[in-house]
Amino acid sequence: MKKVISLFIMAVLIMGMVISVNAAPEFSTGILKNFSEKSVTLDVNGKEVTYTIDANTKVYKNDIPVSILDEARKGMTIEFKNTGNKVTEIKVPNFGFENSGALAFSLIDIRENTTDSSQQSRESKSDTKETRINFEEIGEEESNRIAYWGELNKIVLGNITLVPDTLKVMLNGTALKIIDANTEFNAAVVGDEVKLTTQTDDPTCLELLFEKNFSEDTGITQDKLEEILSVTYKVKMYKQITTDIYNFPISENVVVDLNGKPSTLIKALNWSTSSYITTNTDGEVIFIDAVFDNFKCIVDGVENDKISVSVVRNNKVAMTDTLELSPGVTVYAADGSAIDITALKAKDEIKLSVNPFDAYKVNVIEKIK
Amino acid sequence: MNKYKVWISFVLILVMLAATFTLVNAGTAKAPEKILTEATFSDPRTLNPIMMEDTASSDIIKRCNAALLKYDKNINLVPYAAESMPTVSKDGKTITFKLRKDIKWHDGVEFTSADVKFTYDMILDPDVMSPRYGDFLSIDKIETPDKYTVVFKLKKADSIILHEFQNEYLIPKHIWEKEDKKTLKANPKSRNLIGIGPFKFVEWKTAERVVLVKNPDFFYEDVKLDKYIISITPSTATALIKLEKGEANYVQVPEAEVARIKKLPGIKVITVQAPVFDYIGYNTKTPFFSDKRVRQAIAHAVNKNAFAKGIYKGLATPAETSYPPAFSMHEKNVRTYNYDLNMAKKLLDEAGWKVGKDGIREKDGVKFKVSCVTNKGNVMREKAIVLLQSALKPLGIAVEPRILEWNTMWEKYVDIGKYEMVYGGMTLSLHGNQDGLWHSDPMIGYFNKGRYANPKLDEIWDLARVEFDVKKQNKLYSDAQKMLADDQPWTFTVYRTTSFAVKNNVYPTVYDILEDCDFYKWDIK
Repeated sequence: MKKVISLFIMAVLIMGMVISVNAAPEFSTGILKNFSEKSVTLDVNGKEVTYTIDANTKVYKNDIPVSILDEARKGMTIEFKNTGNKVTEIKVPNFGFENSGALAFSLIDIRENTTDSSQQSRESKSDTKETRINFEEIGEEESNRIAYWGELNKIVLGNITLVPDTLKVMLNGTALKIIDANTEFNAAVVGDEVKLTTQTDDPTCLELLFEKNFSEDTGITQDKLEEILSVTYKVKMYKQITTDIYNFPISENVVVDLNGKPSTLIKALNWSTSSYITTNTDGEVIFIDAVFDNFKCIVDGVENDKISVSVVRNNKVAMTDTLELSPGVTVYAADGSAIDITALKAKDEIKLSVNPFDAYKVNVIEKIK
Repeated sequence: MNKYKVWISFVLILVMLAATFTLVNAGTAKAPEKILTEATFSDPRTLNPIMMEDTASSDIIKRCNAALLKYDKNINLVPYAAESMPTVSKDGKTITFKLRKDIKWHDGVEFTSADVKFTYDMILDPDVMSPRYGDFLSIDKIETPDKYTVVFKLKKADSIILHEFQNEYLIPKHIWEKEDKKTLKANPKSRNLIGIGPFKFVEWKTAERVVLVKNPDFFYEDVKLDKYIISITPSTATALIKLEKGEANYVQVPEAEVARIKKLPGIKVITVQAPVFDYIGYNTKTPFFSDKRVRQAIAHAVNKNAFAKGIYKGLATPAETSYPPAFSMHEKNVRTYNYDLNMAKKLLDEAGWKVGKDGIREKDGVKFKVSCVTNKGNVMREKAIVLLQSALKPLGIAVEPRILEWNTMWEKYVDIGKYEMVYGGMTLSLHGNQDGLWHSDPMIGYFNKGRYANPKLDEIWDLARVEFDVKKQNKLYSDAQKMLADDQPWTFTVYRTTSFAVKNNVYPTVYDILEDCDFYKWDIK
């Protein structure tokens, strides 16, 4: 009997120890909505809870005791322990960046065009739009393009940047000597020179002035002219990068879709990479039609004309979505070759585009890895 | 009695004073002058109606001059300086106008048939080098049996010429008959317009302003504005600033600025359909675009809503034909191209363009790599060709979006056929005949830069030109639109609009397609 009682007591003690270990509070997480020296208000799994704190509440940052008033920031995800309505311990994380300025919504439109003439980079700004235009040299291009304006001793090359020493002019099979704008034609031998000069009313427009008319036919067409006259040269090519930034206030009743489905402004801002907007007559944005465009993500699976994808941020799956595929979807391999949609496998890194004018279906996928 | 005299004198003085005050007040109460100040950004080149070829010049000339006919708001021709619509002989080769008998030139001289004959004889004189020469080539001779009758004898029937008679080209014989025909443009009189229209020309200060005043003797209707000032500014931006500052009460607004201008207090913005479409033009003489299936494929891959919404700020509508809906010739029942990448790919496959290992289509060893050119500085077109690049990439067509100076683009690329694709806009003649755009004869189809040729379509334009029955003519235009929609020599992207901003107290006359017109009706209240 004693033995039974001893075993029972031991069991009770062990159970008591287990219970006491289990009773020790674990760290929970919550988003800090508000705080003071007496309380913290947290969003815990979507539910807002206010806990009291006092001088005995331990607050740590990087395991070093700190003051909550100095180190906490609204919006932080903090770890905390509580006993009932009281928080006993808090771990606050580091924050990244703090700044101040006016908050605004912008629609940013960047486009790249190629061109054969550069201008100075420039900016312009109004209360709703800001434009920045920059130029970048991208190489040289062989050209034989000329413009003939009906003057028998003149050819126009246009507003181009000519690569030095690349201009060659052949008339009836004979190479002509190129001289610069400030050099006089050599009177000793008439007809073998051509002057590279610029138009008087447009100093960026290059033209060739011939010492002698290249034809006697005043009605000569350009096609016929090019049979006797060959002008070849290299021209510098540029990329013109234009950034248009449209700034509009947002209506408090703004309607937001993401990939054709109702969404929130936060999600559209966070995840979309392109959008169409509509403003009312007061200039307020009332509708945002946001989509994925060249959107980087990871394939989770492809099945029944649908693709499931996820986005990993900070080593965590931050977002998952399943999107419909367009019947005309084009899929590229990493080397640019076209592949079938069935070649995509889980874990493939891709960029995909949802087309709002193709019923919000995915119509282009590029495999990155 | 003396007492009465004093009183009478006092009363008389009061009456006289009251009368004086009344007169003074009457003067003060005179209605203020109705002055319209339009801010523009371009000087006219000439004020000689038969030499005009730019919008800035024609904008002033059409405010000061009139024509034999004019368009009503439904784009029907109606009499203007003519007493009635002209009679046309059965063979279509004789057109007879009866003129109104109450018209005077701004200098008081009577307007007669001699002026009409002089005007068109001058236009057709090669020495004059009028830019309007080609529009009246069908005229053989002009007769004036009396002061108010003009008979145009044509070499061949030409129904389109009726529409040409609504342009305000008329010039006074008594002013110009002794001038040197070869130097009309440089003649100082080309800066001093004498017309028969609603406003009289007062002065033109280059790069500053043109001032016009009401013509109290205007024959057609009472003119409501007292003065019309055209303020010439260096740019659109400056013109808009003038409106915002109250220095102008009328300005044309580019699409990109409409939303902002609409928000300004005291200003209303009126948007109308312009006689303009934008398009992707193909050079059909290149191996890339000679097969219409390729052009059709591109039409299936280009989403016109994306162009309308994303580029033209919602101020344009998707286009399917070369006639905007406000034209009576517009044909709805044409082949349309819904956004369908599968169909586009199928058409390219059928045309022999197969996807290569690098994802770019190829045929006979030629990669489908092309450039699409447009004019630099036109923001919407710059953006359109980038959108086109991304739209055709999924098809395996690589497009380089190239922007060029205006003259360079035309003279080194498009005019001489050294291009593959061009993105442009086309302002249409209101008469409806589009042989200038599509005829395969380069002398007729001047703007057919892609060298597209369809003999059946040529025949339609030729028939339409000699057809005076509007219904029959419209049937021909309808057939033409169906052929163009199938052939896709150009892919029409959007129909454009024009927006005008005026102060709230300004009442302009603006109609779809005609845009701003009938300036005698404009009022300030």
